[in-house]
Amino acid sequence: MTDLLKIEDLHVVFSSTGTVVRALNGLDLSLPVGHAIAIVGESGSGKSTLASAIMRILPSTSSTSGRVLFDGQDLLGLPSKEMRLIRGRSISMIFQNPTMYLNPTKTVGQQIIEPLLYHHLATPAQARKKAIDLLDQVGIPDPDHRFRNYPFEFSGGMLQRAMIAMALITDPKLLIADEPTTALDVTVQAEILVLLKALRKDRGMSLIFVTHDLAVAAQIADEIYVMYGGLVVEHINSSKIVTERAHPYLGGLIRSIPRVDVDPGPLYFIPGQPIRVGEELPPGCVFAARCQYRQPICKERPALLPVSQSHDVACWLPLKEGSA
Amino acid sequence: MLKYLARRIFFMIVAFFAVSLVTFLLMKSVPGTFLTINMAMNNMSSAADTLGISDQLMTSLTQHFHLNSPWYVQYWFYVSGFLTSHMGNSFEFPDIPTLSLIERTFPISFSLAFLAVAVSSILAVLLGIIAAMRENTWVDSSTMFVAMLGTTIPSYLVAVFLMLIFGVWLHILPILGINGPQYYVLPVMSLALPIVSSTSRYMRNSVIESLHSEYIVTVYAKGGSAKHVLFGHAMKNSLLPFITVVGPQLAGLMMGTVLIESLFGIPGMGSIFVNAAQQRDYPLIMDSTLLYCLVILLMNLFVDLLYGVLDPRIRRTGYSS
Amino acid sequence: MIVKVVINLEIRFNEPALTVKEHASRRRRSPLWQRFRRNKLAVLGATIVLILVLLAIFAPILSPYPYQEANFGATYQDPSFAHWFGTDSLGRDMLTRILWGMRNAFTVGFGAEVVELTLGLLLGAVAGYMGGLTDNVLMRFVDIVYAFPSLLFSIILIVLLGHSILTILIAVAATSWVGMARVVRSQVIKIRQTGYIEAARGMGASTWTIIRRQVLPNSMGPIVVAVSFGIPANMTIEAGLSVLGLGIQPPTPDLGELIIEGQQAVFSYPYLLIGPTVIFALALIGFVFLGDGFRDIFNTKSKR
Repeated sequence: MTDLLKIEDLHVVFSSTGTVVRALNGLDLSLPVGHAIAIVGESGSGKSTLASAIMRILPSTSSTSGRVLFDGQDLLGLPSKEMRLIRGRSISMIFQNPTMYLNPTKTVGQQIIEPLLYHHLATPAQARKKAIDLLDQVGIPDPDHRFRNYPFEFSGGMLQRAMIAMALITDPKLLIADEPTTALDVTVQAEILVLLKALRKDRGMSLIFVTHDLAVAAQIADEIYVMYGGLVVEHINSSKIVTERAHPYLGGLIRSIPRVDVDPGPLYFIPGQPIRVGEELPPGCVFAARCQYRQPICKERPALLPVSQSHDVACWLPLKEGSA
Repeated sequence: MLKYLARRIFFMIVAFFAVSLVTFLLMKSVPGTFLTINMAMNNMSSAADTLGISDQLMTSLTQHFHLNSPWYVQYWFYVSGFLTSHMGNSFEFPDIPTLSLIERTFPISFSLAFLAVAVSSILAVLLGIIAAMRENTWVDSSTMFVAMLGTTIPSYLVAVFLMLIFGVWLHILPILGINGPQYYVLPVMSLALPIVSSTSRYMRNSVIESLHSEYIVTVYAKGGSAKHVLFGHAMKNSLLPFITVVGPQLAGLMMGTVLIESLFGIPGMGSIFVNAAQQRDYPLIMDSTLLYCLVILLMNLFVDLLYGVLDPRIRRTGYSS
Repeated sequence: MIVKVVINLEIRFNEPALTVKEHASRRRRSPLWQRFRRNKLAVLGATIVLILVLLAIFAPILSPYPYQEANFGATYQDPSFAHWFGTDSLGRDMLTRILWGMRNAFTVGFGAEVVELTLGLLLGAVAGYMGGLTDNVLMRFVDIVYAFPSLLFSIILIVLLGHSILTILIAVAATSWVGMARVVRSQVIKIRQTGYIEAARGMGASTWTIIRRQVLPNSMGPIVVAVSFGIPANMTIEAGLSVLGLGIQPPTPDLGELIIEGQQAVFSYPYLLIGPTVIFALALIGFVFLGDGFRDIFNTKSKR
């Protein structure tokens, strides 16, 4: 199984007057063709930065290093003109808040056909037909009429569907979804997830789904990457997150989910605060300060190493004693 | 959209009547009828001819001008006359109906104002875009600094500087009269530059805000180029707030034409008004005030209309967000 | 006993106001005054304005010659040591005339601003605080005043009231005060939306006390900015009236009059025009720097 996307040692640093923010600190990731992976983390973990870094749409105050291999090509090494040919065509992206990420003064239809027009893949008339067809596929009723509506005339869920249509209109190989359901009601969220899964299956498209919600991640993706402090701390199959989790951070996250089947007692939480944006990273393990299994060796930063098949952990513990 | 327009037009009508009423009452507050006053001031040439104006003539004139009716009747006759362009004669030029005076001079004043609006809008938009595209570079800071300098400098001061530079030192542009296209250059620029100062800054901020909006990220993510971003998306969104800022400047612009016409010796409506004010020619003062008011209200209505057309939220629902 | 309680309550009322102001400056970690000092342009503007205002106030003492004294032996003199700005067609010293002209300009500028501030504060605070129908009615009234062609209206008032400094001051203020009312109103509305006004009401403070002690101190920022842009605006109207010959009448010198005289002789004696224009422009630019500096330190969103 070849990897559609392989990221090696990705570093992203933001520097504006005075402050330096290390958003990604040596991240590794691989996405096989046709698979779906989820990137899970809290705010400040670097997950959104990762999504934007792959697309190379980070602000100019950032500097990126490492390798992002897409279909064998290092995206970071491409000249901007060529990168532009890939954006919106081979790799598409959808965002968290569709109301903010769509132009309020242009019709939804106009914005949906733009990827085709930017890449000269269709005439406006052909693009319009394809767009209406897609609107229908994503479950928007009366697509012909809706094509001519403005974003403010859509509900949140509908608008996110429209955004998905916009991302898929060029039949990309990879879809990056940056927290697309975070701003939606839970019921709408479920619909969108169902839609995404169906579309993925039909097209054999690969998916990177960024979220802070473990449950959503487990539903939508085959493999989960847990991020903390700008690094991947665990990479595990979604079916195994409860049973075979290894990293104490993931363990803490799962234990924090209140159970309804037994008396929960005092609610569990991970002590301490997540690393704030702009704070200096500790030299050793990024999670050590909050970890209950902390040991002297944690002063050295552990590398992301395989524990078993499709399961990598960046922790000293499992290597010594097995899963926590 | 229609709802929106209807509300604006209704306001226009109310405002016009309010202004005309107040103006009328102010003019009426001067003691004595205008006939006696102007006889005393010797402004009415026909009155000057007949120092002992006969009682009969006086009565018929009084009747003609409804001077014995209560003030609101006089007001009504005045306004309906104005609106149907039967404005009577001025004092200064009793043989020339006010209407033809205005017909002669209004096109000149209006073309000055129109050109000034056009020139200032284009310049402000261009300058704003350039500064925004080069945000935080020396281009941005220097153009915005120069723009800032001009914000409280009135058009007549700008006119003086332009006259000095282009009329006297470089001697390449005329500074008096209106006898050809080149005569328009300095007056229009004097009117336009102060507006460019204040509005270009606004345009720059508006473009920057648009460029930093989230939907621009989406355009890049779809494979759009800088050209697509600027002209396909940011422009329209920046123009909307820009229009709201230009609108209120139009009234000031019309007032500026009065001063500019005086400085450059241009025979426009402004000079008519100033003359009337100096000569206490009350009917002419009132007529030109009302006309200016009407023009300003119509200009603002036009801007509102433009805004309504450009903003889809108003187009579709009649209400702005 | 009751007095003590009242005093304690009053002191506590003051704290929200202080807190809001402190937050604004704590964000930048220094009091407003220090921030102002750091803005060099603003300091420059303040200096220019201060110097010119002082010169204008002391014009009667400072001017080397009486302003109306004609000296037919020294007409149209170029700027020299005896006459820093030269002399005009009647041999009158230009420096003197400019100083006195500035005196008129500042008098009307500041004076009209006081009137505008009073009217604007009254109407704006009431409209913003009361809201509802009162607000609506008052704002329609403001909109209608805005529809008056301002300059023409000021001229009509002058035609009716006369050409003294006071009537000119009134004529200028009469059309400009509505801008201040709008600024005050929007600030009041913004403050009303915070919670502590309701808290103050809940403690029984009267409307007037609330407006005086809570609302107004916290609206200061945009109001100060509006004032620093309002004064030059008034000055330009005043000089503009004289440009049209409808302002202060001779022999009292006025900037507008000087501009007209200068313009008439511009081809032969340009210094007559350059002097007053440059000084006037300097004063206006000083106010721009000042106003912009205030706008920055109060961190207000500018109506640029």
